[in-house]
Parts: sequence; structure tokens; C-alpha cells
Amino acid sequence: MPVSMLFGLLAARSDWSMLEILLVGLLGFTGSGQFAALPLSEHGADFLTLLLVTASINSRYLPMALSTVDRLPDGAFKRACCAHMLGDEAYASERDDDPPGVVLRIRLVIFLAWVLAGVLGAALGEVLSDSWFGDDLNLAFPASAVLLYLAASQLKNRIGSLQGDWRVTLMRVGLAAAGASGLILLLGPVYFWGPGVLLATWLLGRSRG
Amino acid sequence: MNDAALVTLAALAVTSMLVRVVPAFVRFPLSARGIHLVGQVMPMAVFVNLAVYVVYSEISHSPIAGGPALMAVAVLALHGRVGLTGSTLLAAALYYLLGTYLA
Repeated sequence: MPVSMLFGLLAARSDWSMLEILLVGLLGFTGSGQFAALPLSEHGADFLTLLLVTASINSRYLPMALSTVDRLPDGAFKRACCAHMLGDEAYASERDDDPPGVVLRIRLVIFLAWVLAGVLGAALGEVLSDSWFGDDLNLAFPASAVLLYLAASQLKNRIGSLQGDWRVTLMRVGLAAAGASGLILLLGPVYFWGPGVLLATWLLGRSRG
Repeated sequence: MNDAALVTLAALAVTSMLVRVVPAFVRFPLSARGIHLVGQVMPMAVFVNLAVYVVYSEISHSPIAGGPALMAVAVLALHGRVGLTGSTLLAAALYYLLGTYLA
């Protein structure tokens, strides 16, 4: 809940309305993906860039979703809603032998808590007076800090999945970062994404085997 | 609703569809190599680019405050004990302090 409140607060400070924050919570319920999307959106990122980043951050849900298919309700609408409400906390709370009704309740409670906490954070963000913040204050920095934290954590957690000598793997990550830095200087922060991700995928994919 | 919020909402909703809803209805015939590439290598490639993007954006805005504060976030993330909210608050405090007294 504090994390969702932080999202609501940051989104409100970025001039998102209460309705937009509520809808993002309901339809775009992706946790860290929401944090990642906020600064990218502020910097004018297009749909594909946003999708690439948020889908990558939330790709961890793919194996979770595949491994919990048998717990979902039968009806198509209920099944889709229940799948959409899958989160880390719900996944950790559920058991393999939980019936669909229990799974639905677990996910619904956690989902609604997240959405409501986001709205609460937004209300807090709107209550805070603008005079508390100077004109030169970069209010986007906390969102950037969240983004870097998520990227560094994900890299730390995933680096073991690349087989081979860890020193070679680290060198390839460094090369990928150097390549991305060169591309962002050359193409700018909007157009470097496609070539940057392709180059890094090629470099990191070669480290397997 | 502004355009940026609408695009963001669409991207997040499609993300949820791709990673959670579609797998509930469709079985993917991917090889082990394909699953590794899509599930592990490509996300890592995105995170490397994401880190570079954040550093570039903040250093361009304020190198004196942004550099040390982002360094602190990265160290805290790799250390892992402080958590997301605590690390963000510490880094933001450092950023605004450096921005106030050194800029």
C-alpha cells in the first residue's frame, strides 16, 4: 500500500487527475510498470517505448500466469479479470489447491487495496501546497530514482540466468550499457530504444552456452 | 484525459493483457531457447537501456545533484536491504539537499 500511495502522490504531482490515476490503477495494474511509465510519459515516450519497458518489467508475470492457469475460474470474463489481478503478493499468498473462488477473493482484495491506496496518494499529492515546492525543483526525480532502483534490482536478479563465466557476463552488460550510451548520445532519448534493445539483446544473448 | 495519460494507460493495459490475461487463454509453442530469449535476455536488455536512459535524463538536468543521488540508488538497489520506498526517499533527500546547497 505505501508503494501504491507513492505512485498516486508522484502521478498527482505530475498533473495526472484523480480519474486518470484511478483508471491506471484499475486497467493498468502493473505495480512497478506504473512507476516506470510515469517519467517516460512525462518525457514524451511513445506507445511502443512504454509498452517495451512496462512489458519487460512485468515479464516476470508470464511464468506466474502460466503456472496458475488451472486455479482460474471457468467463465471467460471472470477468468480474464482474475488473470489481470495477478500480482506478486497474490501469487505468494495462493496455494496450488486453492479453489477458483478463493483465488478470486485473494486477488480482488489485494487489487482493490492497491487501487484505493493509489487514489489516496493522489489525494495527498493534491492537498500538498505548490508553495512547498520551488520553481526549479525537479519533481520527477523520485520517479527516476524508482526507475533506476527497479532496473538495477531486476538486473541483479536476472544476471544469474545468463549462463557462462560471470566476469564475461558482467563485461557484456557493461558493453551493452556503453552501446546504449553511445546510441542515446547519437540518436537522442526517444529514438535510441529500438537499436539499443536490439544491440543489448544480441550482446547478452551471446553469453549463453 | 490528456494524451500522455491515455497513451500510458493503453500501454499498461496492453502489458497486463500480454503477460497475464493472454497466457490464461492461449498456450505458447516456444522452444526452450525462445523462452529464455523472451523471458530473460530481452528484459535484461531493456533494463540496461532503462538504466542508461534514467542516468542520461537526470545528469542532463542536474549533474551535481543527479549523479551522486542516482549512484546512491544504484548501490542501495544492489545491496537490497533498504527497499524501494526507503531507497527512493533517501536518494530524493540527497538530490534535493545537493541541489539546494551545491547548485
